[in-house]
Amino acid sequence: MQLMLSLMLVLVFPSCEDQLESTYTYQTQVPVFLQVNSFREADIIIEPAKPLDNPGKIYIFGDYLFISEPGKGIHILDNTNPASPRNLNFINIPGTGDMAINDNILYADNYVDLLAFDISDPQDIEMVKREEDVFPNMYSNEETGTIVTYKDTLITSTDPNMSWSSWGRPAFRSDFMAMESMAAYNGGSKSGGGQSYGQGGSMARFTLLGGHLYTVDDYDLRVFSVEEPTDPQYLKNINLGWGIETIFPFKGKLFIGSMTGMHIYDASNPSDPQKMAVYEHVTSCDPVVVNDDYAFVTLRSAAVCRMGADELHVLDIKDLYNPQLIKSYPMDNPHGLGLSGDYLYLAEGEHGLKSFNVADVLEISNNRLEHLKDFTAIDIIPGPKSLIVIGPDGVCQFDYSDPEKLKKLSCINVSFR
Amino acid sequence: MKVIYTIFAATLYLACPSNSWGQAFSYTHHSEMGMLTGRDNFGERINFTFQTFNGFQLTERHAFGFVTGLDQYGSLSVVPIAMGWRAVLNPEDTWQLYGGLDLGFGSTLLEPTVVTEWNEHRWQEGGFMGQGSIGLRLKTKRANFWTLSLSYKRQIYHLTTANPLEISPDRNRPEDWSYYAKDKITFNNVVYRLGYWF
Repeated sequence: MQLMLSLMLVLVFPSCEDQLESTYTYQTQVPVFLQVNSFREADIIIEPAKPLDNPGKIYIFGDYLFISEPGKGIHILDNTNPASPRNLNFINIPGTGDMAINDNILYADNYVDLLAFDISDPQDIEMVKREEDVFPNMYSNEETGTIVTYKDTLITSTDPNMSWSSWGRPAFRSDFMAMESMAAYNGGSKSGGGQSYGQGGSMARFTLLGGHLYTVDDYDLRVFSVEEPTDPQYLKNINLGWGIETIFPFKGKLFIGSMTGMHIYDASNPSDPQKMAVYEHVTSCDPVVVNDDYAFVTLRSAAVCRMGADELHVLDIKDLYNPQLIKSYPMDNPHGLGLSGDYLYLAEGEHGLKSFNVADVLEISNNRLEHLKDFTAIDIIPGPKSLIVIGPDGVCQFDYSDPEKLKKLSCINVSFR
Repeated sequence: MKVIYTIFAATLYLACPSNSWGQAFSYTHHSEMGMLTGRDNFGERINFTFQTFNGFQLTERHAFGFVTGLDQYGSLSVVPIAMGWRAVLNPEDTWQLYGGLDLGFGSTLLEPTVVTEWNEHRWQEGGFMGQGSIGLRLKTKRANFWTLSLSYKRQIYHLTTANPLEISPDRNRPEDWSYYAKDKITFNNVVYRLGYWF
């Protein structure tokens, strides 16, 4: 008996130290090198409709919705009836980040190139132009035609120090896009030489104004002439500094939202925009919408936006050279916003969607109309037929003919991730 | 895994004394309290443990049932949920030698998810629990028993620390987190217990 007990003690004790195994899983970006020829020679294929997976940005053009899938391509939906949108087809564009639409021509980036598609018949889309090497910051070696892209990769390691390497990776043009499918505005500027522009939503880092296409990436504003829509010409590059996020055209001006503030550029000479003012604030993520007198800027705290505050700022922009903060309102977690007349629609992330009457900009918080909570809203576009709300779960449309009472029309859910 | 669940469910069902099966076999109960002892990075540790075995007597020597209780490792509470088997070598004697084997799961259902002011999320998950015991039981006048036992208990436990990147992150998707560290801790215990059996 005692023998057994002591035998058991002997057997058990040596293995009696607790074991600790720590693993660190992180998503990092592994560089993938590509030869420009490999994608230039490959045909851009129009594929049958695909379910939405990771919707990025939305463009409304006539009865159609163009929904980008960053890095992969663009979905085309027939939205003749917003209560039941129909998924038509998918343009497979590897390495795409953004798009803009001008006179039946869709512009989209394809790694370092800008592509133009004729979309006059969405059933029969044709690529009409490839403007090469206009986004050269993706080149790792321009002479050999090698570009570098970064592929999201999950790594599990037992070495805690490796997790820091994810911070050391280089910034990449579509990083901010991929991380944040957000930051909204009503990009429906109807100015410019009689051309009909599509209406862009969230994070429109491509925008059209006065016969010109403007693109922003982390540091630069690039200007393209699209006066001949099928033949975009790269004109110039303006350095803007760090953390550029969104671009919003209004009455010949470009309002550029960055992580540190809002830049205003005068684009009355569209090929040569001139800096008018910079409104600086604490570092945070901030989409912008504008009307004649005021700019509405949301500041949001988030992992990638540094120590920001969650606020809606109203700026007086009657003097564009000297924007003045009039009032700031605390918000839950504001992302994109959309302005339609006197009504402001604000995406509050997982807190849903809020609507305000902003006729009196000093009393916005007292004029809240609705707060819809049962979905996550990242971005909002007040379209001609419906208010389009984008979130990680899909794209929903609301009837806002009565701006004080939104009515849900339809939702397109993303495929299960 | 399915097989384990089936056996589990069956054990639970059968262990319940009100079931008709329970009438065919007599109900038996064994509660114990004691110390979990082991060694971690900081040195020796002694932790409190309590467990109860509820089952039915298959034969005079063998009992089969359901084990639960509480293991308190410092501030961590683990609730074992297991199947248990007890076998007595010499049921006719006053001092009896018995052995036991418990296999199942240790649950951290009492541990809440913590979110710090820095938005760091910490959550805990249980894991495999296995225990082998040997002990003595002393028959009392009323055909109940006092027990004294020595066991080896292995308990696996997971602690995840993560900072979210998404608005509504999924715990099982490391992509949704900017930092995601998982510690798997295996507690190896020598357990000393006193108990009461009827």
